[in-house]
Amino acid sequence: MKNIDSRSHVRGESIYVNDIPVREDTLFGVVLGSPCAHGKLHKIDFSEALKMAGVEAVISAKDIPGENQIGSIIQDEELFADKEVHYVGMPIAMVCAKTEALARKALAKIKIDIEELRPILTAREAHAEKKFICPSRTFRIGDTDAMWEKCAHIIEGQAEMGGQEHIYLETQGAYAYMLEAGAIKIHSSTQATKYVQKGVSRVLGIPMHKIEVDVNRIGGGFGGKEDQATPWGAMAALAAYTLRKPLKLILSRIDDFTMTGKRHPYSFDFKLGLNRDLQILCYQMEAFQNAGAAADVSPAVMERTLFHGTGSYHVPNAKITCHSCKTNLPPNTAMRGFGAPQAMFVFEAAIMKAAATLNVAPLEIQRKNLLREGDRFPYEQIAKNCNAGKCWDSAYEKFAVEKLKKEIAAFNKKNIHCKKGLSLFPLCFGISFTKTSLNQGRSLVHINTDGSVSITTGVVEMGQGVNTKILQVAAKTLSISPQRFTIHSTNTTRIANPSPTAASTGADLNGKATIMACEALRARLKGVALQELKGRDPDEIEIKDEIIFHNGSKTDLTWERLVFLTDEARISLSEHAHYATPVIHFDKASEKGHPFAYHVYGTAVTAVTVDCLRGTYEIDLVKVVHDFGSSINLDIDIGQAEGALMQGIGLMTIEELLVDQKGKHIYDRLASYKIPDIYFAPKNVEVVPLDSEPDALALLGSKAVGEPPLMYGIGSYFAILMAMREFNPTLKLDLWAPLTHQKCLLALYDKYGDLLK
Amino acid sequence: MLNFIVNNKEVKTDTPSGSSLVDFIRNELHLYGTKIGCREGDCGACTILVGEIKDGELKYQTMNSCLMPLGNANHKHIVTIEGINCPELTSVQAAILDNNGTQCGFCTPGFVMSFYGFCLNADKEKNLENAIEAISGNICRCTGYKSLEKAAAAVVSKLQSMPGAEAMAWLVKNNFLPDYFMDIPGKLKKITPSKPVAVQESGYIIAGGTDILLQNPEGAIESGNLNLVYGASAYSRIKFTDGKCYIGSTTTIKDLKESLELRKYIPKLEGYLKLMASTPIRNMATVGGNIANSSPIGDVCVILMAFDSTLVLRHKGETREIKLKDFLIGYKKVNKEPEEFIEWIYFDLPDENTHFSYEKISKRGHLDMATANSAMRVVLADGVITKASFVVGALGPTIRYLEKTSAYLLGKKISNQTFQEANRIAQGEITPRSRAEYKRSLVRQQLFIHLMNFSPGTISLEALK
Ligand SMILES: Cc1cc2nc3c(=O)[nH]c(=O)nc-3n(C[C@H](O)[C@H](O)[C@H](O)COP(=O)(O)OP(=O)(O)OC[C@H]3O[C@@H](n4cnc5c(N)ncnc54)[C@H](O)[C@@H]3O)c2cc1C
Ligand code: FES
Ligand code: FES
Repeated sequence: MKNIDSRSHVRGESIYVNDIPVREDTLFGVVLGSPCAHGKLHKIDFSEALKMAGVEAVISAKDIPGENQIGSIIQDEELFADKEVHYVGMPIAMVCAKTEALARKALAKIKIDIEELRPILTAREAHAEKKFICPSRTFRIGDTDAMWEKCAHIIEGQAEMGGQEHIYLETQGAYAYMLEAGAIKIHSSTQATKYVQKGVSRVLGIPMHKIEVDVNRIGGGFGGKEDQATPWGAMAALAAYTLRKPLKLILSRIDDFTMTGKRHPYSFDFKLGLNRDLQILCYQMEAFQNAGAAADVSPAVMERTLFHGTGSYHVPNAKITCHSCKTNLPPNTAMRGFGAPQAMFVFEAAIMKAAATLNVAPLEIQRKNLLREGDRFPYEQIAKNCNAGKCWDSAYEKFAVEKLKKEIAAFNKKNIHCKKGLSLFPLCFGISFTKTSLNQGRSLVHINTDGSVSITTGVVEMGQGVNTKILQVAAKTLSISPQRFTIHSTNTTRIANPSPTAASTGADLNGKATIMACEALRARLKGVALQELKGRDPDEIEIKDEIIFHNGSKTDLTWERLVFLTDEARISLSEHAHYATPVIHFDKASEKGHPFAYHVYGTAVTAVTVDCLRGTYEIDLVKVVHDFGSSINLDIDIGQAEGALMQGIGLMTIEELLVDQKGKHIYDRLASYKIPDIYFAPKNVEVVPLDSEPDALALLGSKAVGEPPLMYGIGSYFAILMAMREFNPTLKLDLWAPLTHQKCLLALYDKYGDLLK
Repeated sequence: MLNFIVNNKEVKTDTPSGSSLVDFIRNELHLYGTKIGCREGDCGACTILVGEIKDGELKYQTMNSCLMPLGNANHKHIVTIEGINCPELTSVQAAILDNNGTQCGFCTPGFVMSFYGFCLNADKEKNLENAIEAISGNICRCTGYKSLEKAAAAVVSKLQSMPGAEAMAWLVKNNFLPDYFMDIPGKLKKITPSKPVAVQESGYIIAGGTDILLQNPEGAIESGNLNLVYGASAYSRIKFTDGKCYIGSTTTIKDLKESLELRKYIPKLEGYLKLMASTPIRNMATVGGNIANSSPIGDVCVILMAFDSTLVLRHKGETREIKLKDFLIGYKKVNKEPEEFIEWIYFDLPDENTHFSYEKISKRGHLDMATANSAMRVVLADGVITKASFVVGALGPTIRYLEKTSAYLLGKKISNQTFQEANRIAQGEITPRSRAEYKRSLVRQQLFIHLMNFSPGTISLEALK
């Protein structure tokens, strides 16, 4: 089934926050962000701004009736800076005016007096000064200290990985207005209705039942609207509440860029020990996470870094530490992969360095150490239905890697200005929120008396096609036509307390809840049918493709009639179901448990060409064998895989974030921060599903797919590096992602620096 | 009062000519299918079609409505996604849907419109490469583009039976366009004045608007007296006389890129300009604007300066000439009165001994400003350089003609040694402000590549070691 939203998408009829009809007296907000990364806020003077006709108000911390606090995991984040600013772009105030252009003009007239303080910009700096978001954590397995001396080879090094801006095409935004009796409604572009609701509740000091948060869909999220949609929802609500007028706040791209957090930059120290047969005996890694100025979800991101510390490999002795370091950057936040890409990158970097040092192909070390069935992860869970080797071997064979290697070698021999490189990347990604309590889904299913069905779940549609999957499983469970369904907006008055749409779990959790609700309804309907058909045992009744069977034979009872009879009998046609993932648990004190419902595996083969005269590269092909389980919608799942892959390639190659010495982003808009365009896409992408056992905890055996394929992009980094080494065999291995054109050229010619003088 | 057609309705408005078309479409016409992803011409979510009668024929091209001055819509047909919709999905829409080319949907209307830019472009062969070029100004963060490539292939295959003549009727009949399109030529003719767009003697000059609406949107709105020169018939052309090429200042980058005549003299021009901005921006941006905005990365300026081009300017009825290299004096600073109008830029046509090479490196290959760009023109006689100009961009406040390096090359044969010495001189001439080591390396590499292009047999990689 095609994504059910595609029709309205291609017609431009899909409704995002900025397309909702607005009341005539609606005001428009523009947010004033801090011009400096760290400082004391002495005075703000709004008077000139307020004098402008059409400017209604400038709201700031002093206007907050409740608490000036929006931190979710740790309460350490103000909505508006009150006494101090902690990053460039930190909201200080919001101008509310009749038009956005007016508000922006007024904003330029606000005078602020800030005493600048020294900012901390890197994780290592913060670590040295002991500035942490939360206590550091370590995962351990085996005994690393004792093992080092048994290793034939010990490879040590450092690696760096930059952040990444989400670039959801729809920027952050919210539209808020008062309902009656002090209630307020917020249309928000959020992945987490509950977080906006909670944030507004705290800021306004009113209970959650007074706050309705509605999301029809969002124009991309990628994690960036999990925690960080809350401030804009809260600001719009605060204005609507205090001014009693609707307010719309849609961030400009540049404001969105400067004011919101990104994927966390990490810095690493690693040490890898192998025996003579290239078996990994020992791995030690210390990660320094640049969390930015407030906690946001950084502690959870750090946790996922720890969980994925050993990547897709079996490591009998490991010690993995992560520090969440507090700096003066916008609070870094969730982004597709959530701390795992960083962990996997450094592990691959360690292998690369080992391979280069020992003069073997990285593939040899990789294959030899892949996870096998029954291996233990450092967090105690046992690898079950482990497809790591299966994916690798199948990719190796299907994509004729041996032949590819030969072709590349021949090319490299022939060409002096261009070189090709190849890499394989094995993936193993755990599915479930690592915070066990978040693993619950909800669904509300109403059958209307005309036989049509309305569904609301806790999940937010952001392009991942989750609503299509919900519809599919509902239609399958009730065995009626998909045409009968509408999946409604995500709304806190219909589904309370939902978990954020994140961690790739949306379809699993809410789809399972939907199946439960539909099963309950089906049982009730069958009961009514049994009575109507004068049967004895509910098992005599079957509903299939809208036809009601009795003892295996078709009856005249129609779906519509059955629904009508159920209502006549005063039996509920509605059901709310709640699903909580079984089995999973985790004990933070011992850092052991069984945190994941299952793991997703895969292998990517990447080949690239580097133009060694220009220091540029092209991705020739990425071919993947991916473990979808038994996908219920390959159209959607392959789309997720291709999109995630592209985002992962961007992360490893051209997407570069840099701040200047004052903590200001140098690349802060689409003109300067470049994400992949159609010409940058690999020329050839193939995603082949692995034949694998369906996993019981996945939705109808269809494994979660949102995040895992992003990490295939890591392969592009190492393929480029391999090609570069063909040109410059003595290449200095700076393991520092992203591998921009700049780094590429400078490394290719690193020994020729004197030609610049 | 502006008067134009939006979809199937005629529109009259007093909204300022300098305001952005996308705001008019969304806020005044309440057509919300056109999206805003950046307001800087870099995402394509706001792409629309602009149709106008040219040489008696209705022609459409895509533009980014976020950077399009409302005044440039005057007397034209503006088509938004709503103006494409038919009761059933059109062939383009179906191609996207069938190939899973939409996920969150926010970029999708823009892609649809860009595909239409391809379908309606009579000058372009209906092949995959051209289809991709048409959508290359559209950014999608969700799909990874492969599904959109498949959609493009599907659109191309559907168009194979389109006839050269009466294409519009075919598109209407074959479920590409709603039938009101057949009435547009007549309606447009009615509102199009007989006098073509002409340049005023004074006023705040706006051409394509791609720079003004980005840098100073307020200024464009508030300036009472605008001189809207986009499409001015006198200067929207390229002419060849007396061994010279004259490029009219309002010639768009697209027209420059596609000029077959110019390609005879600069064979790779089309490829060079494909790296500049995107399809919709090239449809809007003009040569005059690229020169007048004096950006240090200006691709057209770098190329034209290497040809030692001269500008013809007019102010209050007086004309004067100035060399391009003397015209650009600083970061976004030019040697001209604010309301002085660039009429032409001209250069001597290269002969068969003249060789030209252009290089541009950016963070992303396409739709990106140069990290470094450079052009070199040499005249070779028996392998000896008798004329040379080396121009570099993106290295400082303005584009630079490297005099010493160019002078050094005179009388030299191209060899590793020539390169090394030229590079040493060039490195002394440039003063990159940021990312200096990288930019210096790029200049070295580009110099090498230029010389290698001219004489691949006499220079080798050894020169770089
Ligand atoms: C997304 C994007 C990508 C871009 N990428 C590139 C790129 O890769 N390479 C590159 O070189 N450029 C690039 N540009 C810049 C672009 O080329 C210029 O904005 C464009 O050429 C300006 O032309 P315009 O007609 O739109 O000028 P306008 O915006 O209309 O005017 C710009 C300035 O020039 C003045 N002006 C215009 N015409 C004349 C004239 N005939 N006489 C006197 N003054 C005049 C105006 O008064 C104004 O000050 C990009 C721009 C965008 C928005
Ligand atoms: S809004 Fe991005 S190009 Fe216009
Ligand atoms: S579908 Fe989301 S940006 Fe293209």
